[in-house]
Amino acid sequence: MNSGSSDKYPFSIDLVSKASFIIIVSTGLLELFFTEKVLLSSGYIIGVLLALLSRERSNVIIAVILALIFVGISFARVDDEMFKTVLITRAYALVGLSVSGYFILRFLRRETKTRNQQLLMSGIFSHGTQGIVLARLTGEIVMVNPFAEKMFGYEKDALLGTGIDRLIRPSTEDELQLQDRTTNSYRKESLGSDHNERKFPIEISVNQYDSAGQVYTITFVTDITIHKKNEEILLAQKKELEVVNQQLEAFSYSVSHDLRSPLRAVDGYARMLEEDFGAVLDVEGNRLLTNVQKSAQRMGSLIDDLLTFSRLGRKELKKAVVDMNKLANAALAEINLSFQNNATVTIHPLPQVMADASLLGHVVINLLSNAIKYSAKSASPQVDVSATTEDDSITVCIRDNGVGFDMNYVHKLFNVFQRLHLESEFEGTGVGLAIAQRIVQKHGGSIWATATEGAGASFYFRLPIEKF
Amino acid sequence: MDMENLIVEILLIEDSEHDAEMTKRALKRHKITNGVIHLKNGVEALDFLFGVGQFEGRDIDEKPKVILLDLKMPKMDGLEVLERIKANDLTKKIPVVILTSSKENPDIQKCYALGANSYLVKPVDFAGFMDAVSHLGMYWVMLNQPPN
Repeated sequence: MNSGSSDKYPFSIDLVSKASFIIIVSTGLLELFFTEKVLLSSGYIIGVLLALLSRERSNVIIAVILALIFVGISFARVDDEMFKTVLITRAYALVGLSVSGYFILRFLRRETKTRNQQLLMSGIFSHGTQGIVLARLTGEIVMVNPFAEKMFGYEKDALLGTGIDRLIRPSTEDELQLQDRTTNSYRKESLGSDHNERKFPIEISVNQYDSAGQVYTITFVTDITIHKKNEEILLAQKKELEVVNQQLEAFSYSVSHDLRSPLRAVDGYARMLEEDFGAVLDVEGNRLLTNVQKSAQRMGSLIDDLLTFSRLGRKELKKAVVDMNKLANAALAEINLSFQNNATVTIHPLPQVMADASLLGHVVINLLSNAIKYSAKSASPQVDVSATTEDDSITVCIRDNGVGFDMNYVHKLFNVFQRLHLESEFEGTGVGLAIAQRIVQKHGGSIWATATEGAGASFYFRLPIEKF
Repeated sequence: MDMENLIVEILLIEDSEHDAEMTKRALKRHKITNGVIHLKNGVEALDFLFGVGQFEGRDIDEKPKVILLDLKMPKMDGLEVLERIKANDLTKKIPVVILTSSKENPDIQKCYALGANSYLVKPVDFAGFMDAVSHLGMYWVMLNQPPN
């Protein structure tokens, strides 16, 4: 923006003004030292005229003062009364020239400015991409712009003098009540009617103004057909989504209810068989029976986890400030209640985050219980929870010294029903990490893991920092 | 069916034979065997309570101590049965325990709004189920003090 820097100075001395000052000064010096008494008025006049050309009042004043100083010096130096009269006349002439010249120039400048502005305004009127309709209070159309002609499909002459109601559906009494009467201006959606009586949605912005005792209404008209169509499409899509969501809800319910009922029967009858005829069956018979029950129960947990997974995916986030320290300690307490373990869990200071507390709790419980579960077979199980804060995110790390996993299969880790260990080694349905990932992603974050087989795993999740 | 003069302690309204069998078995553990009536649909249950239809002439002052009501049933579902029971002065004081297979049920709020006295999710595992039902039976039949 260097070009604009000259604007900062109130007195911009351009080349023309410089020339004018030089001419005046050299005229004065010539008169003083070389050609005393020689009339060099033309030099001063040219100088002042040049200063006038610069259109800066300050430049004109400087030029006139310079010229007057030299005239004054000459006046003081000469004795000739006749010449003194000439010099006084010259001073008056210079002042008169500059003042009148200045005002003439200023007038001319204003004229051009007004004309330019008028041109600009009429340009906006005739090239604007909004219909503009000017009408009297009675509704009689006084002026329309070409865009309005095009929009409504009429020639200008066919519209002038007719009522604006022909183009724009008049406001109802109710709508008039709502209008802001203090400013007489309002904006609303309405219907337009073109020369074929075709109706189309428009938005109008109406204002009243007073011009030479006559009150006019000026109406800006925008065709919002496309806008309305898009709105309709969006609404239709929204409805469709709602229907799909409802179907999914019904499906979930039905899955949980209808799949669980027969499962309960399988488990129940196997148990009844065991209770009533366990004594009759041999060891192998009882083993088979136990396996039936175990499988039914496992199927039950799979259904539950799957439902949790689908429900969490659809649940809306309720974000609030969450103290991760409290969250992690609560998670640990819950885990210790639900299964026996001898892990040493160290929770380092954790930051506050903006998140859905119950969902984030789900993530922490999942990662922490995994860490405890998969390190349970180590000599001294160690689990470490820590966090690092970057500029725009917080990364939480949960590290254990357990069995780890093969990094070749890390890409499968977060998929539903994917497990990297056998059910007989470590219990689980393979849904937990998928749920954790879904929750973290819903928060706009990411989750990943690194591990060495036999030497522990580290699970990380990163959440973006949001303003509290 | 000779139910006219039977003392009814528990009215089980459940369409699943299997669930009903397991429920009865659980109640049996607490020696609750007499007075357990199992009806397989809502219409039958209402007929029983109001002494109409096939239960014409039943002494309707003989009210069960508790009604165990399954929600998902063909034809008239549990919600409707509940609404009818709680809407009638004759039956509205009878405690109703809702039994359902799922905690996903969106109707849990509705049930309480209609006046359900308890809401129980049947556990998948048999042991859990037996526990839940036997506690339930014991509480409502032996411990709870009915209104009259």
